[in-house]
Order: sequence, then C-alpha cells, then structure tokens
Amino acid sequence: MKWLTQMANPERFLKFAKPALPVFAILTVLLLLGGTFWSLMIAPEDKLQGAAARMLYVHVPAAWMSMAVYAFMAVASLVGYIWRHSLADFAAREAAPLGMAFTFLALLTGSLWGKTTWGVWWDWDARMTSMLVLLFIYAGYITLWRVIDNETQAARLAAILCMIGAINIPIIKFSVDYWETLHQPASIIREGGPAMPASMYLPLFVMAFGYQFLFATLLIMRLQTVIWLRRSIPVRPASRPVSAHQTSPQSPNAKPDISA
Amino acid sequence: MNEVDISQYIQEIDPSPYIAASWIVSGLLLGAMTFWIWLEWQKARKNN
Repeated sequence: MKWLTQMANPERFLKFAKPALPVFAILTVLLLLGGTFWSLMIAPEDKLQGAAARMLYVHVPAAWMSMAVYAFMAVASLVGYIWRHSLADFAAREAAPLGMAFTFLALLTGSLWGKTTWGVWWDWDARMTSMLVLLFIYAGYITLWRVIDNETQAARLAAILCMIGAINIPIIKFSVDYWETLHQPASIIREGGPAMPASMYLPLFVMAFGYQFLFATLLIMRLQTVIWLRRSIPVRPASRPVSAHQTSPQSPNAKPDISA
Repeated sequence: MNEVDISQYIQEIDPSPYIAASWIVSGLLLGAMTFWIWLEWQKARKNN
C-alpha cells in the first residue's frame, strides 16, 4: 500500500519510470521472441489436436491478460475512488484500451481455435459469452471517460462502473466449472497442477510473461505521456474578468492536477 | 461438465491457416498498438 501511495505522486512515478521502462521493454522483446520460437519450433504437438494446439500460446496469454488488466483497473479505480489519487484513475483509464485489445485477441484466436477443434466459430456458452461481456464492459468504460467532459466526474463514474464490472472476472474464471460449456475446463491454473507436460506449459508461461511485460511497458509509456502532456498545456488566461464569487476552488470543469 | 470428443473434427480441417492467422493477427494488433503508443510517447517527450 505504501508503494501504491508513493507511485500516486507523478514525480515519484516519473523517477521510477525512467530506469524501469528500458528494462521492461528489453524483457518484453526477449520474452516474446524467445516464447515465439519455443512455441512454434520446439514445443511438441498435442496428442489429440496436433499442431492446432500451437494457438494455445497466443490465445491463453491474451485471455489471462484480459482478466488481469481488468483486475488491475478495478484496484486502481478503488484507490482512485477512496483516496482520490488522480494518477490511479488515469492508470485505470490508460489500461482499458490495452485490456480491450487483449480481450479482442482472446475472442478472435479462440474463435479460430474453436473452428479447428469444435467445428464452429462461436458458441453462446458461459465462457465465451462472459468474455464477450468483458469486451462490452471495456467498451462502456472507455466510452464513459470520453463522453463526460468533467474529468473528476468521469473518473468517479468510470470507477464505479469498473468496480461493479469486476464481478464478471470470477464469472469468467469459474464459468467452465459451474456451467456445461463447449470450452474445456481449466488446464493450467487448477488443483493438482497443469494438465499438460512442462514442454508445453513452460513456453506458455514465457509467452504469458512476455504479454505481462508488454502491458507494463505500454502502461508506463501511456502514463508518462499523460503526465508530460498535462505539464505542457499552458494555463489559459481568463477570457473575462472573474469576480470574487466565481473563484471557487472546486470549479465544475476543473481537471485533476497531476502535473506536480 | 461437458466433455467433448474433438477427435472427430480434427482430421477434417487443416489447422495451418488458422494457426498462422492467430499468430499474425496477434502480432499485428499488438505491434500496431505498441507503435501508436510509442508515437504518442515520442511526441509528448519532445514537447515536455
């Protein structure tokens, strides 16, 4: 919690981001290149699915990230809502398009995989439908930020939406256990360990770490961009004289100050 | 829990184009997203 509070200070965040960004970027490239080579060239084919199982290495990390990013957003929204750390609100806002991209990829690669193994592109089963709902929640969250001009108000409402939407994450995770689904049950994160050999789950973990570092790298870049842009915006001179009763410190169009 | 016997489908479809499509689309989307964020980041860094 102390670390979170420290990172809520833009100056401290920029100090952390400067050395962290190149390290994260290099790790991302190494993990994704190594993971791609391992997944496509070294990892064995599946006993039943054959080469089709190679879609596992892009589908599963995208699906994990779609939920992990949303969980991150929910925590950031909670911090922003309770402690009014505007950087936490912006972290959630900037993470949303990344999470939406991972969700879209999980659905798309899942559809391609489904066609080869189930013979259908889509089925309205609990796992796929709850993932589609997650995509819509991401879209709604991003839209909410865009349609409300007052950023303080947008941050509050978006945080409420994000925290309510978090109920969908355990639904996605346990959908294959509670309902009869075409989608297979959990085969990695489950009791008794992974249901596949190390030669398959190790490259999967490498790809998953690559996706995680990619998300961290891109989020740091987006937050740096937001902080820098806010610093570079010149203070607008008042277009007309402002009388004493108009100088409320809580102007309805006031933007949260994250420049210092 | 519904166990699906997938073996009957696997022989019918050559998975190669589907594997290629899943990897290419993932690479393109994540690559495009990274490039766009990098462009915005560069612009903001120069103006800062």
